[in-house]
Amino acid sequence: MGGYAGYVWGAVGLTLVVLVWNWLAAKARFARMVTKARRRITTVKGETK
Amino acid sequence: MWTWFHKLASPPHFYRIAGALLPWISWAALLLLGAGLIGGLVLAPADYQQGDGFRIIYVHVPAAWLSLFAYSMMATAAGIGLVWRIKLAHAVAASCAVPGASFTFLALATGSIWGKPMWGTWWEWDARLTSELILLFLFVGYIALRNAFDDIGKADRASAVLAIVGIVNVPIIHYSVNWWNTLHQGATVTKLSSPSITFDMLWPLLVMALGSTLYFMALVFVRTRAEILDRERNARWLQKVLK
Repeated sequence: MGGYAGYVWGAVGLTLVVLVWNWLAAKARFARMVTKARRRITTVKGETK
Repeated sequence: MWTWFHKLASPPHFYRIAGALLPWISWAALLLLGAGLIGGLVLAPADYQQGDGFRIIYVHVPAAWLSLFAYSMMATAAGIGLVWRIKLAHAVAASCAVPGASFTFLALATGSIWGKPMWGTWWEWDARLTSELILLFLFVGYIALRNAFDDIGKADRASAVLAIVGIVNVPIIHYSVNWWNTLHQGATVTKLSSPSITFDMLWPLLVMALGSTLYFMALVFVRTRAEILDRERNARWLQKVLK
């Protein structure tokens, strides 16, 4: 890729890192909210018994 | 038609629809991004002036487009939430912020990486670059403002006002290359009459743009579903869904 390979791979690598981080962060947030909601449901059920 | 829109604005309906569409959108995005990268980095011919350095456009241009798209979508959703008091619209607006900020950062960073070998500088206070940097500050401000409130209703309203006021920056970014004498080049692809780029170089760019848009939509779906879970955690429908 000529003399610019470092710049091209730097830009592509940075993009991929940010895209993967975004995806993992979104999935982690969703998983946290599922756990939180499930815990809430269990607590509410426990309180009404 | 209106019934469909009305139904879509209901959190349980959106939660289910987004959950069903998510795998399709995610896989389509992954395939398109893979094909676009191969097309741009391997198949497209080198530029006669910039050599292989031009290949940075395959990540820079979609990121720049998506930064504007994300902000427009965020401001529109925030406006709908503010005017019609639709909770889901605020959830969508909040979900656009982090991906939007990421794409804006990528547009600035990859543009800077391209600028060093082509312009001889990492940064120039050029109208396009400066207005894009202001967009990043708007996204960061929006996220910070949301986090400053404990009450989600107040956070929705305050951040919606900021998002709507900030939309004025979007046409400034788009037309900055026409309104001012900038170092950044003018429109290449969006010149609908005749894009000044050959088809061999254009198709991977369009594929990358479509893949990035689908990736963004998938992210918004995941984040909006998380927002719905947070906001509706006392709702009866959620208890059934999470069983």
